[in-house]
This record gives sequence, structure tokens and C-alpha cells, in this order.
Amino acid sequence: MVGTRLPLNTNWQRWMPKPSWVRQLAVGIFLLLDSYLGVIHGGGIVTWSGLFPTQLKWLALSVEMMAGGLILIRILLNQANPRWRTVIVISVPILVISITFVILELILKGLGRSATMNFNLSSIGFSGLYWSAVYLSIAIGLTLTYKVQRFANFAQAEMMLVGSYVALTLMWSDRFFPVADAPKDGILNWDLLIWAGVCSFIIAGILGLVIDRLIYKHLRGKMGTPQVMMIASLGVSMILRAILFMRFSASTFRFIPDRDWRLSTSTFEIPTERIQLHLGDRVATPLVNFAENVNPYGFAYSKIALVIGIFGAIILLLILLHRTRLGRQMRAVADNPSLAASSGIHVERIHGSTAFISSGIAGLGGALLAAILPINPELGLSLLLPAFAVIVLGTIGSVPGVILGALIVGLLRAASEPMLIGAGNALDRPTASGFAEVIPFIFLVGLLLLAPSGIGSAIQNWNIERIRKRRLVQQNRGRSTIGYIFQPLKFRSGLVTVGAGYINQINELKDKSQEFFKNASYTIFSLPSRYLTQLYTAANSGSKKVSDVISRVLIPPKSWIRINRETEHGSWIAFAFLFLVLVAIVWLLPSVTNLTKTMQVARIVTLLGIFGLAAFSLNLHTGITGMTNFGVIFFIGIGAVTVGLLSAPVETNGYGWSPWIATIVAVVISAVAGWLLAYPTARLRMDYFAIVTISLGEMLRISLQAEPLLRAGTVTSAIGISQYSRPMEGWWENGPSQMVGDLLGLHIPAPYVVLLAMIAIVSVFTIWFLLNTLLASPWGRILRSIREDEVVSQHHGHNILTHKAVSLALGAAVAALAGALWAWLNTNIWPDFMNPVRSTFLIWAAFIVGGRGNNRGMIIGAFLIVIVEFLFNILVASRGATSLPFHNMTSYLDTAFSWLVVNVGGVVWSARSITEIFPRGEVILSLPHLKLALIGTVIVGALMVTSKGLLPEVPSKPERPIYRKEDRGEEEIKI
Amino acid sequence: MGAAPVLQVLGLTKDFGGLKAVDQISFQIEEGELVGLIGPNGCGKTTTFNCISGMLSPTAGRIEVLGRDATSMRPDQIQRLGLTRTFQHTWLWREMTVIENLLVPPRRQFSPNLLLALLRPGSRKEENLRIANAYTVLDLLEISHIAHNLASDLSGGQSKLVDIGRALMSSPSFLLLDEPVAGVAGPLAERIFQNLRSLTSDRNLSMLVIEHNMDFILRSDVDRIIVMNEGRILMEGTPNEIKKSRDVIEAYLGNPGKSEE
Repeated sequence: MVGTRLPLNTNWQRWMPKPSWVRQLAVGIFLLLDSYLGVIHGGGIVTWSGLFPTQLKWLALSVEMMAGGLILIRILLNQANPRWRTVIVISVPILVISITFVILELILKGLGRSATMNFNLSSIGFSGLYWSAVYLSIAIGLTLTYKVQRFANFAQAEMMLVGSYVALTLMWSDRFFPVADAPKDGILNWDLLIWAGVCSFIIAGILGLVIDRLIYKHLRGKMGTPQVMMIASLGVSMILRAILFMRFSASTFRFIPDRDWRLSTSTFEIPTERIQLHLGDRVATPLVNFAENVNPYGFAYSKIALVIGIFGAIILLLILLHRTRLGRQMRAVADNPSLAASSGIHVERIHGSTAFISSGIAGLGGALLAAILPINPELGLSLLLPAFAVIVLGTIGSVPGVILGALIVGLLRAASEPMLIGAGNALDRPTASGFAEVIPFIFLVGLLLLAPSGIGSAIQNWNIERIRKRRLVQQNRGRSTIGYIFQPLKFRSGLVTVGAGYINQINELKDKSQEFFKNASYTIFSLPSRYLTQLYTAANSGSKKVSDVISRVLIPPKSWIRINRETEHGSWIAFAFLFLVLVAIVWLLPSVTNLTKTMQVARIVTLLGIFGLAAFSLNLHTGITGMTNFGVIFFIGIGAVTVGLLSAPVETNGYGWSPWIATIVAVVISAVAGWLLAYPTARLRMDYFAIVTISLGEMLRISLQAEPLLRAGTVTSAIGISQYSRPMEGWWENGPSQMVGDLLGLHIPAPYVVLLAMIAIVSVFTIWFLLNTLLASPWGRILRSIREDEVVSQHHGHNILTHKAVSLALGAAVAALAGALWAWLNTNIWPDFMNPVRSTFLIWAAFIVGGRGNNRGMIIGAFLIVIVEFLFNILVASRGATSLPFHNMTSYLDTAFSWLVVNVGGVVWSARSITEIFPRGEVILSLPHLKLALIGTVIVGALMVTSKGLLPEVPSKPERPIYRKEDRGEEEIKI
Repeated sequence: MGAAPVLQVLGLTKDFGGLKAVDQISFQIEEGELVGLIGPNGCGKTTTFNCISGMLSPTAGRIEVLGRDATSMRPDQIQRLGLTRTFQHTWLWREMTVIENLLVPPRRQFSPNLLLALLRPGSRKEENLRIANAYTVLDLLEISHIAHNLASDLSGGQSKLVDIGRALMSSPSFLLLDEPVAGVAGPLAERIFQNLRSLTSDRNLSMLVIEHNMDFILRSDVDRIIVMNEGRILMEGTPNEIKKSRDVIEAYLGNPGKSEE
């Protein structure tokens, strides 16, 4: 666009009309050649520009080369003959992996180093198999939910953990603990394992059913969009995770069905070969050779139990789906719910069965997984994201595709470990194997960028084409061949029919029990509410006279709020009211001295600034533009990490920049990242976008843990960034701090956090004003039209790609500013701050509660979250001494929790299961997790009550302008 | 420029897997023409629209809009050539008011350079002009009273009208209307068609209208009618010619006058 305006650029003009793929090809080839030059001969743009210090140079070179390779693959995909496209799409993973190997080889050559990777074939194959079983147990439930209910269920991984803890509780039970704890006698005991599998299936299934009935059914009734359902499931996952944390603590446990399972002899010995791959500077070694004297690989029985259990369950599920009435009904509902309903299918019952089966299989997987991996509630997300990779790979909604996807991702995970260890050792990164966890997401993101519709759809298309061709051939030949092919299969189908008969019977039994359970639960749940309504009416009749008088004097507050909040004026009034209430709460928060009160308020204000800015960013992305961004922390992280790294001292691996310049650079980098993200992801479906963004956040978090370049401030080997300089620190301490301290009546210089609070206030107001101006302009209107329906916006002349890119970049810049503030407030950056539970999900809660699409709501939401955060901090502190405020409340909470766990829960679980978790004998409530549960409840509750939030979006209602005649321009439509 | 037809479709073909939805159709539309496109369900009318407006890329063939090759353009690029379409199942921007719905399409209200667009003087005056125009269009369609309603609160017929209004807002030179008056009450539908008719003569606006109800399209004052069946053009001519060969058409289509969705 810019080029065409310059008069000199005739070459450019000649170049523009060329098809875009030719231009892309040129760029790709240029990148490849340039990076090759850089790696092997020390030339090329990256080296000559002199921008990058040594280590970064290699990183930049490999990124450049990868980009070139990916562009070439993309061209291949787009330009391929339709007949070959399927083959190419399917082989994309292989192509990408080979490019990675080539890059590694070249980089190592350039560095003059060598790497050896040991691929133990059986080990990779079989651990790939059990990883795929793990992923499959979550992914199958995700797929079913997708197929029938059409949303991405983020609570699926928690269902798996529920299964794990059911197994653990069984292990600790009085009946089974003697078995689990019995000395090794060489005889495997299957009892506990089988019981655990069955119980976890049923309990997780029932839990899934109850959640479906309580929450999702309600949302379905309100015609909740998939986005709303997805966010609700996020809330559910937070609640479940918090409950698991509170009950089972954060420590890890292992499910041991019998000690004999852990014997070294309880394994299958599988002969294996070890392939050694030598990359880089090979002196005498060949590229590939077989290692000698390899010990056979031991595949533990517990892993076999997992593999057989999950794959067996999946086979049963397939039979159920394709051979039974319930399965047919499920597929009918998946295809078209309203049509299914009108042809006599009880759709709600199908939703219930789906929820039961999905959660049940996840629970079964969890029970079996607990026998292999130590379990803690934190595990959820790291299993959920690969499961998403699996279903995306297998094209959402197809069960066979998911099985294939799980096998691919599992193998990839298993094979990436030796690769990372080999490459990591050669490149001075012994911690590189930490990346194994994120390899599935990296793969997923790469795949979505290259082939957005997934490999499964390619296979599907290929199948359709094949069947069509075969039909054509058959029509010509007659039908005899078909009978010939199917004759030997008759026997199998007989078997299947018998199985199906049984399943139908079981199903009916299940339906009946479900009905019974439903009735029972209905009675149980309706009792308290009936009681409450009675109580309410009783109380009402007494106070009726009073309320009559009041209602004459006042407008009922409910209608006052409802009338006003959706106008500009009313929204401001509601905002002011809520804001003052929250300020009053801050004022009332207890504190010891004047100084601590100042610090408390300053910290709250700064945090409000951080959360407010992050919520602005989320609101721009999700509330206005409609892109479900679950990776707010990715952009915040870019901001915080860049600011920290750039302004840390040079001696400790930093760059020693001034914090202001570092902030500007961080904001620019984040904006560029947002802009670049738009191009590959703009056409992705809403849920894919959510998965990509949450994966990006996790990738950055893991990189912070594993990558030495992202460490600074202390000894270079320590994880984290610290000792970076903060803006105006020296200036503040030499002058204004004394003055402000006196002003606040502190009698000592005011702490730095006061200055930060001021910076936060200034930035929030600036950004708020800027965003509001932008969103009130026609651009805001266009963005909202993209949110509502981007296809129509495009047909009305708006380039949605550009608009989305600008929106993403702008929001990312705002989030990066929040990240910079965050870095300054906390003086050091640990990878853990990027944990989505502690960041992204809180911002989401602020966004939902505050009111999407309304920046005033973002401030209120953020304020609420910050205050909740502080209240819980005070509660935690109050445990310490009776003199502290809220001590009574904390001890009351502890007593209530202890009563719940010991007296109520004790009916279900054994005393051992309590002492194992709370070894000191006192049952203590984990308050941070109570907070998490509270925030999850708030998200779900807000969605169930109204999806608009406290301060809903204000629709723009311009009046007819009044004109003088001569003002009218040419553009008027004369009709 | 004046000589080139507004729309020229040459050998347009669209396959979906094995199914040929549109098969080698060619037609052209001249400036100021109002042309009806009719045919039974599934005969490829909407697919033709989707190919012309850039929503689908054709398997083969060439599409020229206002003399420019638009075969591989994006929908927004085609819209900027001057072609605006509506959709069969009306898709309004639901959580926006009616007047806002009308304010999104106008041209030149947003240049890619964000800051310049913000800082440009006189933007308030232009905005007022756009709002005034939007109200004029609402007046024409007799729906100014719902200007401040949310689009999600409208009835089916009202949505159709807003959709037409929205299409007019970008001052197009060529309109593709997909069943514009389906679900609109009879007399109003006829008035709307008359208004559309007068637009074509007053502003040299050309239109291609899909209509399901054949009686209706024969009664309304269109210049030409294209009849499609099974992805091909069955016949093309003035309403009188179509009326004369109506027996032939009925043989193909059953009794299209009575078939309604």
C-alpha cells in the first residue's frame, strides 16, 4: 500500500501484480538463503545488522530459517494440485519435523558442536502409546462434548483428576488399604485396580451429569453461545480444581493398587534397538548408527493397564455410538439438535448421557494414570492442552480422528524427549527437556497455522472422494464385489450385535437409574429452596407494611438499575456508585499503622492499574472484537519479561537499558507479536483461537523455566529475572518521596510503591481515554460488527484481517504496559506468575463480572478481583494471632471446613484419607484455593444470572442530526 | 467504463466434492437493470451469489464486476468495487442498534491509518452526515421508529428491511439481493420493490434479485428474468417471454408460484 504511493517505486509496481504465492516464494527462498549464509558463513542480514549478541544471533537465525521453511510448506499446501493436497496435509508434521532436524544440524555445524540423540525404539513406541492413552482419556470426552454440545469443555481435565482422587480415596479406605499396603509377595492383586476403575468411572460420570444438569442445562436453556458455555466450563474447572486442592492439598500422591505393581519384575521385557543420530560437527561418526548392547525396555504392567483400559473403553464407546439406539440418538443430536428434538429424541437426556460418558471416561483415565504418575491438582492444565492438540489434529468431533491424533501426539511427546536432551546438551541447555511438556502445543500451534482445518478433515475429504470413486466403479461393474468383500466380515458383525444387545440393556438400566437419581436429586435440591420460599413469604407478610411505605418513597432499586445501566448516563452513575462502594471497602480494610495503610492502598491502586489495563486489553480483544483470548498473560508476560531483561544489569545477563526505553521496546514487541498472531489465526474458529492463545502463554511460561536467555539479575543459572532498575527510582528517593511522605503524614519518605501507584493511575486514565476515543469512532463500530458476524462485515467492505490485527496489536500493547507495571511492583519475575490460574483466569473473572464491552465495567471488575485478593491475603495473615483482625472468621472457616471433611465427608472416606493429607492432625482450609473457588463460582454465577455483567455494554443510539441545508454534502443518498 | 456491463459471468462452475452446484453458467447485467433470478430450491442461485460476492471461490469460470476481474478477490475488495449483497438468512449484527447496523458499511469512514482517521479534522461533520443518511434510508424503508432497537429484538420482516437498508448505505452501484422481501407483509413488499425499481432508474443502480415467489416477480416490474435449474440457466428473457413459456417452466419446476419455503 505504501509502496504504490511513492513515485520512484516502479519496480514495486511491476512486482505487485504477480500472484501472491510468487511473492511468498521469493520471501521464503530469500529467508532460507540468508539464514544459511548466516549460519555457515557468518554473513546475512542477521549478522550484518549487528543487532543481536551472540546467543540471540543463533536464535534469530534459526527463527529466520524456520520461517522460510514454513512459508515454503504453506505455498506447497496452497498451490498443490487437489489430488496431492491430502497427501501433503497429512505429511505436514513430518515435513516440519524434518525441517527442525535440518535447522538443528546446520546450527550445530555453524557452532562447531555435535549432538547425539538416542532413540530407543521400543521405549518411544510404548511410552508414546501410554501418553496417547492419557491424552485420549481427556480428548474423547472433549470430542463428545464438542459433537453433541458444541463447546470446548475446559473442565474435562479436572474430571480426570476427580477420577485419580477417587482411586486414591479407595486406596486409603479401610477395606483396601491393607491390600495396597501389604508387603510384596510376588502375586499381583487386581481387586483395587478394578474397583478404582469402575468407581472412578461412575463417580466422575455422575459428577459430570450433575454439573451438566446444574449449569450447562441452564445455559442451553438461555441459548448460550459456545463461547459462553466455554467460559462457564472454565469457571467449573476452577471450582473443581479449588475443591480438589482444598481437600487433597497441593502435594503429590501416587495410586498403588498393590505394592507388587511397583516391583521391577512387574514389567514386560521388550527387546529394543537404539538408534543414535549424530548431528552437527561429525568427525568420525556417521549420521545414523545402531547402538550396541541395549537392555530390553521394561513396560510396566500399570502402564499396560492404562493402555488397555482406555483403548478398551474407546472401543466400547465406538460400538455404543454406531450400534445402539443411544448412539444413533447422540449422533442425531450432534447433527441437528432441533431436528432431533422434533423427531422424538429427548435431547436433554442425550446431553446428560454425553456428559456422563465423557466425564466417566476421563475419570477412568485419571484412576489408571494415578498408578503411573504422581498426581496433584495442578496437573490438569498440562494434560488438557495436549488433549486439545489431539482433538484439533483429529478434526474436532470425529472419534476415529481423535484416536489417530492421540497416537501422533503421544508418539511426538515420547520422541521429543531424547531429541531435546540431545540438542540441549549440545547447546549448553541441560534443562531443555523441560520443553517436552510444551512440544504438543508447539506442534498444535504450528499445525493450526499451516493447515487450519486439521489433518482429520483432509483424511475425511480423501475418504469421501475414495468412496465416491468406488461407487462410480461399482455402478459400472455391478454389486458382486461388495458381497465378496463383506462375506468374511459377517461373523464379526454377529459378535458386535450381541455386544450391542448387552449395551442396550445396560443403557436402559442406566437410564432407569439416571431417572431415579434425577428424581432423588430433584427432591433433595428442591427441599431447601421450598423451605426458603416459605420462610421468605412468612417474613414478607410481616414486613409488607414497611416495604409499602418504602416503595412509595423510593424507586425500587432493581428497576432503577435496570432502566439506567444501558444508557451512557446511567452507566456512569452505576459506575460511580460501585466505585465508591469499593473505595469504601478499601478504606475499611484493616491495617496496623499509617505507613502500612499507605502501602496497602498504594499496592491496591497499582494492582488495580495492572488488572484494569489487562482487562482493557481483554475487553478490546474479546468484548469488542470477539476474539476469545485465553492468553492475556502471554502479552503481559512479554511486557514483564522484556522490561525485566532489558533493564537488568549487564553483569548478570541483562542489557542495562533505562526502564523507560525498555518499556517502549516491550510495548512495541508485544504489539508486533499481536499483529503477527493475527495473520495465521484470524480465520481460526473462536475455540481454536482460545486454545492457541492459552498455549502461547504456557509456552512462554515453560520457556521462562527452561531457557537460560530468559534469566537475569542473579547468578545466571538461577531461574527468574530480578534486580532490574525501575523508573525514576533515584529521582523519587532524592526528592519527592520526602515531600509526599510529609503530605501523607508518614514522617518518613514515602515508599516507592506510592510513585508506582501514581504511574498506574496516569497510565490507566491515558489508556482509558485513548480506547474510549477509538471505540467511539467508526472503528469501534466496525470492530463490534466483526464481533457479531465477521463474514457480513467482510461483505460490507471491511478487511477483517487488518482490523483484527490492529485490535490484537493494540490490546497486546496495553497488556504489555500492564506487564511492565507488574514487573516494577514485584521487583522480580518468576515463571510461576504466568500460571493462568493466577493471572488469565482472574482477568477473565473481572471481564465477565464487570460487563463485557464496557471499559467502566473492566475497572469495576478489576477492582473487585483486587479487593478479593487482598481480603484473602488478610485472612491468611490473620491465622497467625488472635489479636489480628478477621482471626475469628478464619477460625470459623477452618472449623466449618474441618466439620465438612471429618464429620460429613467421613461418612464417605476413611480417617486415613484425612491424615494422609493433613499429617499434623489439624484440618486447615487452604484460603488461596477458597478464593479460587469463589472466583470460579462468580464466573459461573454471573454467566447464569446474566451474561452482560454489572455494567453492560451501552448500545450507541445516535439521534437524527439537525442540519442547515447547505451543510449537506455530496455523499447523501437521494431517494 | 460506461460500455462495460456491471456484471459479467463467464462459464461459472462450482463443485462441492462430487456435486456440481453451478455448472457453466454465463450471463451479464447492464447498468441500471433490475434482473430477477429464480429457480427451485437447490438449483444454485445462492451459490451463484456466493461466488460473485467472493464468499466462495469458483471452481472454474470468470467473474467481472464493473469491468474488473473479480474472480479471486476477497469479499471486501469486491464490495469496494461497488457490489453489495444481502443474505438469504438475514445476518444482522445482533448486539448493535439498527442505526449502528446502518452506520458500519459507509465507505471511507476508516482508513487503515488509525491515528490519521482519528485526527482528521471534520470527522464529526462527516459522522453527522452518515447518521443523517442512515435516517433517510430508514425513512425510505418506513422503519425509522426502530432505529434505536437492538437488531436482535427485531422481527423477521424488519430484519430483512434493515438488511436492505444496510446494503444501500454503502452507496453501491450494484446490489445482489437474496430474497429481499421474504417474510415481509404483502403490500409493504410491493412498495419496497417499487422503491428498488425507482432506485435503479434514479441512481443508475443495477440489481440482481433472487426471488422464490414467481408470481410476485412476474408482477413486479423487472427488466429481465433468469431461470436456473440444477445448476444451469434454463432460460433468460423479459417477464413476458417467461410468462409465455411458463408451461415449459412448470414442467421443470412443478408449480413454482405456489412453492414457498
